[in-house]
Amino acid sequence: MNFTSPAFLWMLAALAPLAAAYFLKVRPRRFPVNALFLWEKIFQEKKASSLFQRLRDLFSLLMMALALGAIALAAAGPRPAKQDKRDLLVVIDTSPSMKAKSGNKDGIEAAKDRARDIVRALNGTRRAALATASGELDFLSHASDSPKDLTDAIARLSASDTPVGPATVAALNSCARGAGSAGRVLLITDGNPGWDGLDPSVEVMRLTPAPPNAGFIAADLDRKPGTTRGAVFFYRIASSVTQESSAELELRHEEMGLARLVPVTLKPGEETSDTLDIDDAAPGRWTAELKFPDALATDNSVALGLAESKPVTVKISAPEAYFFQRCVEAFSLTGGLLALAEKDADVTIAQGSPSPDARQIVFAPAGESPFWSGGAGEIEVLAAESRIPDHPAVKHLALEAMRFEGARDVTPVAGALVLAVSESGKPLIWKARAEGRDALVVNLDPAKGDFFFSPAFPALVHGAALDLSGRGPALRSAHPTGSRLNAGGAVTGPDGNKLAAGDFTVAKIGHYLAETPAGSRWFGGALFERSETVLDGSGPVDSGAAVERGHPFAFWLLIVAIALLAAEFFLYHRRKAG
Amino acid sequence: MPEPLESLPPGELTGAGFIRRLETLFLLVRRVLGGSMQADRKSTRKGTGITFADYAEYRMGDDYRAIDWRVYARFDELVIKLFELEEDATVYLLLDLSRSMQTKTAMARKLAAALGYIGLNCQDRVACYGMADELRPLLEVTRGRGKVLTLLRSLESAPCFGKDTDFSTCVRTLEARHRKKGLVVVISDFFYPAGFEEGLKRLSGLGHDVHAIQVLSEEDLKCERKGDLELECVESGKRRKVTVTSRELDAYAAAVAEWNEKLRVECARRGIGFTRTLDTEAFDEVIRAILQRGGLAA
Repeated sequence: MNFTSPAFLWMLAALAPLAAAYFLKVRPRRFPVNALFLWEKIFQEKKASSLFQRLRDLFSLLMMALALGAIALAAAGPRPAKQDKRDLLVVIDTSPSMKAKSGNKDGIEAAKDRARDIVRALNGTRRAALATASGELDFLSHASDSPKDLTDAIARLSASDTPVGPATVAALNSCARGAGSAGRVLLITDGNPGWDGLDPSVEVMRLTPAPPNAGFIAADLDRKPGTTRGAVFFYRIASSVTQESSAELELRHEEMGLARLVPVTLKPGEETSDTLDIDDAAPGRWTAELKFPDALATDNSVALGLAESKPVTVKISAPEAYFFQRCVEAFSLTGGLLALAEKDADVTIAQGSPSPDARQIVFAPAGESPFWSGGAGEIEVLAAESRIPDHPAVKHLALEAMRFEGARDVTPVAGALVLAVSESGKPLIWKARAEGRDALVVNLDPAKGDFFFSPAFPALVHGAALDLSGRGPALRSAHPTGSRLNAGGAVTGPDGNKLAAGDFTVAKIGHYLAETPAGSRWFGGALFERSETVLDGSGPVDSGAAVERGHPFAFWLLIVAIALLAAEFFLYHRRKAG
Repeated sequence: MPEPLESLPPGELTGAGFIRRLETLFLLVRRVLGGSMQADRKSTRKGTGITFADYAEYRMGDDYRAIDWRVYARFDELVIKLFELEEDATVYLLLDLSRSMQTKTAMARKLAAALGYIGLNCQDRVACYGMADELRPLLEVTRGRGKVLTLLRSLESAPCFGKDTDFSTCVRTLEARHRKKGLVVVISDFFYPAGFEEGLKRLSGLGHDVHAIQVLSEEDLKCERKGDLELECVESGKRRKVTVTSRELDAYAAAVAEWNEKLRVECARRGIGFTRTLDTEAFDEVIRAILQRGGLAA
């Protein structure tokens, strides 16, 4: 056993004044009486216990001395001779599955208890840091040897709605490698999947597995093609039930109330999926709820949004309007996504020079315009490549197969978002904003190279029209938490917080409201992660990490000291005050 | 708890207010007796008074003037008339001045003062003694109204003394000092470690009329202190370290009650008048009650 602060042993020298003070303290109060002989008569009858009474002061002093000794030893910070002195990074898995209850406690509470146990054992001799792992690795505290700071940080943490992703695992691996032999990385997790590629140097402490669970792993609500009021709801439910079980599925509109209630049978090892028709589906917030008592409630509910059935109106102001009109009409017939309009259209398709309308797709830019400059001569494009492959305007285009014939050597206006360039870096597709107008410029002549007959033509028109109108396909009825999304406008989260326009991460489960150029639109954030629902415990195995836990020896010494002092006080008080 | 007193502050017993209260008490006595200044107190002895008491057979030596000739004429027997003897009695006041009385000495001295005042005003002979481990004279046997202030001053200024209360020794000293029988009033708390039985037995055995007035304080009857205490006898200074709990407090209260009951029974057994009072009561009320019991006050 080592003593980190042997100087505190000098406290034992305080025993002498303690004894002196004690005897002063226990000196009885003098009490004059008129009939001492009567008192003596009483106490003669109690002679049998006088030995104990004589020794009682000594017992009491002995207890105080032992208490002081225990305090001095505790202050000296005794610890085992072979104590591991490496710093610790305690990482707590806060993915949604940690909300699953096992008995009376959910995984988060169990992990907090485990972390507190580890922190308590630090005893000020080494440091620990605390981090949570869900959609990202989030540090809650710096390396500290203060148990209070760490326990405060533990108290603050809560489960996330975002499952563990590869970026989290990579960050954790990086920490583990960075710590090397100077530190240890402990991961407290429920052991569910999602930790693929976890570095072996990360020591895993697994919690008790959760009981069977069932929940949504996919759901969608969208307009039924060819209708303006009808909708279709699709769902897929995964479960880890061990025997066939019955449940109910409710589909509700926030204002209209219950729309569908269907029985669902959960079979062991099977996923359950189906589509439900809704004849009169109002736009707005919808919620699908699986009524099944299980371990995790988070995945039993899905927030959904349904947009108004409103096609994007398109005006054609190009000289060769025929193919553009046919393209828009085709989309109008198949799902009502696009519709031709003569005026006040959401989007205008122009050719050559831009139109004065607010949103437009401009093919074959020529001359000077607010959206570009130059364009004196044609350029030859051998191969095009995407700068932002996931952008809704170009995500469905096979750019490498497209022929940009008739492209000109133009320069996008400053601040333009270039989506595709040639092999020589010449801009081919860009999105720009100038003079209060938005334009998606496609640097090719549609009349050349059989562009009108290529599959890229309708894909480009459709994607660009939806993107410019703010009703891009990026917004589905529900998006899995952890996914990145651009709603095309400002977004209000489930907790009422405003999210900046642009790309954002769907971090919380619940309803989101997007303010797009085409109007407000609800959509949902949902778990939709099979590994977080099935809870099969097939994740990282327990490393059997040997780490000190529980209160240090000094703590128990203090407890003993307090118990001794309390006992002494009780005895003393009883004697002093009766 | 009252402040312990060695003696009373000047004027406590000699002040006009206190004397007026004594005078009031005396007037109560005068109203009942209605006699002159000559030895108003009735005696159990038969003598030459004016109040007929009994007949007795004539014997040689008897005053033939006492022969009732009417009885002789009717029954042919010589009998003499006996009359109650009206004599001047001697009142012995034995006042406990041991240190155990310090907290209630004012009450005890006032009682002694009242009795002494009445005695002197009734032309009785009064003697007053302080009692502790020995008997100390406060007022030698005297008579007459003029000695009242002397009595009151000596009662006022007499200090508490002694290291113990030895009642038997005090009684023996009184016996040695005075052969004349009289009324002995013992004013004390009767907390005598050696006991009170022997003293009372001797007093009543000497033929005195004895009256015991037990003066107690609330603190004598029960104790409220608990915990570790060092009990110190106020008289002997003897100490004892004890731990007092509720059980001991109850035992003490029971012991005091038993002691007092024993005193009462002893007095009753020996025909001794007995009065118990607390130091918080009014002394004149206590005296009036005693006089009423004795038929000396209305």
